[in-house]
Amino acid sequence: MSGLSWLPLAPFVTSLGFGLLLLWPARRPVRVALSLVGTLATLAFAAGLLLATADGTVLVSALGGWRAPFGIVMTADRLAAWMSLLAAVSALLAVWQAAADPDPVREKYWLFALMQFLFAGVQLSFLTGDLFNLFVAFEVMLVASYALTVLGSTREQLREGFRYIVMNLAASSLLVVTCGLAYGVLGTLNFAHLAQRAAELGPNATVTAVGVLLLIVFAAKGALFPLGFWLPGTYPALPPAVGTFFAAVLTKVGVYALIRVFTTVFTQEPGLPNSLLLGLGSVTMLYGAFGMASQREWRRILSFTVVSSVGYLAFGLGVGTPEAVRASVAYLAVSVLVTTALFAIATVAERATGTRLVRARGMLEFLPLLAACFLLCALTVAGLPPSGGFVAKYALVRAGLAQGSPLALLAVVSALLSSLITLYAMLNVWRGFFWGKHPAWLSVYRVPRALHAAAYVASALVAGLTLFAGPLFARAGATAAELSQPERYIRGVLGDNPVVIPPAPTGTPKETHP
Amino acid sequence: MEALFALLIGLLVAAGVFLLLSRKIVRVVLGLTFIGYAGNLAILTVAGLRELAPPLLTVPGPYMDPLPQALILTAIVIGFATTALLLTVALRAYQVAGHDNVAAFGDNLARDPQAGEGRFADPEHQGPDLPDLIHSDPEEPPEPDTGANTGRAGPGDREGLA
Repeated sequence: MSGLSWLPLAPFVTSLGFGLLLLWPARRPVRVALSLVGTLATLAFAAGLLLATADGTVLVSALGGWRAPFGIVMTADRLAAWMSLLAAVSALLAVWQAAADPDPVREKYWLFALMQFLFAGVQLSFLTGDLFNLFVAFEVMLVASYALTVLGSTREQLREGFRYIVMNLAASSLLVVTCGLAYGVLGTLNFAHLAQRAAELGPNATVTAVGVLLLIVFAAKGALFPLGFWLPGTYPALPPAVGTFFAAVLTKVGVYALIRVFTTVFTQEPGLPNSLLLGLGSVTMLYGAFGMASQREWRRILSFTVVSSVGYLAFGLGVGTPEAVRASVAYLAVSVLVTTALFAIATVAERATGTRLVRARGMLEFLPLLAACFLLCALTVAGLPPSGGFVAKYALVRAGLAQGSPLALLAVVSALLSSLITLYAMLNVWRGFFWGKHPAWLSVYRVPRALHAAAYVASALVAGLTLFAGPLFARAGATAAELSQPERYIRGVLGDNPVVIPPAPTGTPKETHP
Repeated sequence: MEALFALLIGLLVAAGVFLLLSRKIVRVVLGLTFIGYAGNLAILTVAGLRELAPPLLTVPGPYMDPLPQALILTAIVIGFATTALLLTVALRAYQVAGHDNVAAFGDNLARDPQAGEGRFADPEHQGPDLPDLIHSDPEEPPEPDTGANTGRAGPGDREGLA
């Protein structure tokens, strides 16, 4: 074990610590500074993880010094570090927006502290190496998100928030039961150990059933089609800065868990989960695209782009070949950054016209740079050539065609169709908001410069995806290669000579000490 | 023994789902707690039910795996916290709307007195997100401070926090 074994714990502990620190009643500039410093530190640690895992090392920190199958471990492989970094980037932009947009009432009730707790939960979900700890991480994340959803107590927030809370609590109960079942079947909860034992057991109906239950849980968290009904109502009800982070990252936590479970842990019988993912993914893409075309409010339209992107990711995962996983990992980066950018743009647009609706027309005259940013992001979401979205979607579609099963071909058709509808919906926004002649009776409000800057920086990151598509795909390819060989993850976590727990005639006794 | 537990778990989940589908907010909360209990019992059952087998290594004889009990303990604590939070949200909804029904959350599309003929469900003409006078209890008028909620996302959406 190298000297970096503390690193997988660092992003979580940093966010949690700064969250606790922010509970101290200080003046606003102090709180803003603390939030920014905390998020920057998290980002630095996440970048450190990315560098440390670049050569394929699996970093493990054993909590309490208990070795892997016994204690809870935090692990960072390429995928986890990748997600951690993306979440940290989005978190920084969200905190920036919150700092640029004073909201005295919500800030009085610890908006900044809750945001840090949310980041802590997200980082813990990405970096944990244990199924039950993943449940705990989800709860840390969700409790913070429940509080943020209803903070402000407008009726819309209460309505959407209550639905969101009930939905997620039901899914969490299912996750607890599934953890229990997994433990009952395989006698462990550590991801690596679960993977090892599932591999020893070979194809097994009970293990597959546990896998499908997990799929349902993570589909609910990630808003796959029938279980994602809460999303398009909830995200527009949130305050802008919080909504940005929710939209960009929270569904991706569910997607990450799906990738982790179905590429690392339950790999013995991939047929059923993959066809489920393909089927649900293709419906989700179309649902998202049609939803986008049907809405007339900025952030409602954008919430449906989130739904659609989850569909693409499920499609990539369901195809299951290393190329498809590579495209999915790359698309994760595209999706997180472009969603952050679009929500930041929507915040400025809503504030500039004083309404949520896309109907101002002619705003190109007042916000030319924002229009350029929107056009770039719209092309990225729709997947047209000069954007990173095109590269990732092209890779997805190619992987689907290469795999060639009827369900995969159906999903490819659905992906292309939904891209087309997305383009239509985005052009509708462009036509309704930026194009045309501005009606004189609609006033244009001044928006804080820092909010503009957040949108521009996020859009610059999206542009960076295009410029650095080469390194991005190299990293994604390495991640996919690592995910296609779960043995390396298992060996990285359990060590070269793992502790063998002898089967006992009664119960499953534990070794006394590692 | 396992069969009994399975029946019990099924019963609890059924009761939980029934309550979850209710229109009363408190019943929804209770339904979720029932489902949570069922989950805890399920973990206990899956881990194996055995009499005279304490989870102690120092005592001779058969012993139980203590880990599922640790899992249940964690799940109970988390369930406790989330239930408390959900009850707080339910209370807040009651304060804002004045009655304990999911209709308390309103859907401001349909009930806009200013909306024109036949335009009730038009998202471009949403009604103000006001307390729902039709459904509220006449004895208990909604609090005056909540009338300031406009429900619009614009710059003025800050008054709602009491």
